[in-house]
Amino acid sequence: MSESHTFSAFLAPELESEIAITRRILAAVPDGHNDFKPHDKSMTLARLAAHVAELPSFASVTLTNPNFDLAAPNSYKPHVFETSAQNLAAFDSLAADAIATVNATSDEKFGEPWSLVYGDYEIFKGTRHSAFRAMAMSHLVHHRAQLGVYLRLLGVPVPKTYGPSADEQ
Amino acid sequence: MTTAEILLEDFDMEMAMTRRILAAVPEDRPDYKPHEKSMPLGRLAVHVATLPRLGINVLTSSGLDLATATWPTLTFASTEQLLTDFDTLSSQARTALANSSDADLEHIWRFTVGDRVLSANTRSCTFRHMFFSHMIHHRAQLGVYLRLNNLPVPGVYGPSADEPFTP
Repeated sequence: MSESHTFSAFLAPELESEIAITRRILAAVPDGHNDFKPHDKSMTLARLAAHVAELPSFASVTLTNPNFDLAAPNSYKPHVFETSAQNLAAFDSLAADAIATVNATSDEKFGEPWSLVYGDYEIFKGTRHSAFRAMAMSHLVHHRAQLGVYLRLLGVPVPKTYGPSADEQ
Repeated sequence: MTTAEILLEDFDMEMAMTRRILAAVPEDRPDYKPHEKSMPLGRLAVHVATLPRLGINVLTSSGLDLATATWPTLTFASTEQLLTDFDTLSSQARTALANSSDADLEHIWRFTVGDRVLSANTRSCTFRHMFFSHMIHHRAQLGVYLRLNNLPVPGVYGPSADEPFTP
């Protein structure tokens, strides 16, 4: 029996489009402002840009891992921002892996249960599809938008995303 | 699974998160903006609250021509009004989505300005791009505005500095 791929056919073009938008925002991140944060409680520019770059790796976490336990040793090794070029290269590699992972995932697998836990404590429970949506795609859109505000506050021209920005019509 | 069922899988969760951010919007500074080029807080909040209208439009019309379309202005009245508008529109968007067949969602929806085509993709793809992800994008900006105004920021995909993760 051949595997059906309704989900991946549906998701891959959208993921590719979001990756292209994200790449332009990451490419606009300047070097030399790694410690910038708009507020004491905010992430630094370097951490936020690194987080956006690493989020495509959540595709394989949600689509191939049985679940994700934050309490497990070395469950999460944050990607570290060094330079904008190095960060972009890391993103490119993870983004290519994410597209390949989505394309390789069958409908049956997308429908399997998946959970995000901390030991016995359940943070998220749903299908792999809904986990991928929330943790890989929408989460990426969320932090990328924050990064756009950081660029704005640093006086860096902001690439357009879903519509024009003040700098790009 | 139908395409509508696929699209509904994360609908309620995301709309609930958006509602929490909208409920945290203050009423006394709609003109605040973090930068001269930024949207003012009131306008941004109304934009987030009323984006489901675009989702409804995508699902129930054949296209949108900006040259002739009339669209309500984004004027902030009150936080209560934001939530009322959001609740009404998100409920209508949910119904419109649930009522959409696979064929409906395959329909090519045209976004134009007169003769110029801005996009012409399937309704399903346009719904995600122009409404759903677009809403998540501006909701995140709104979270930064709350932070810069020293207001507590609800946690979205994970903990925020004000809603730490406590197992």
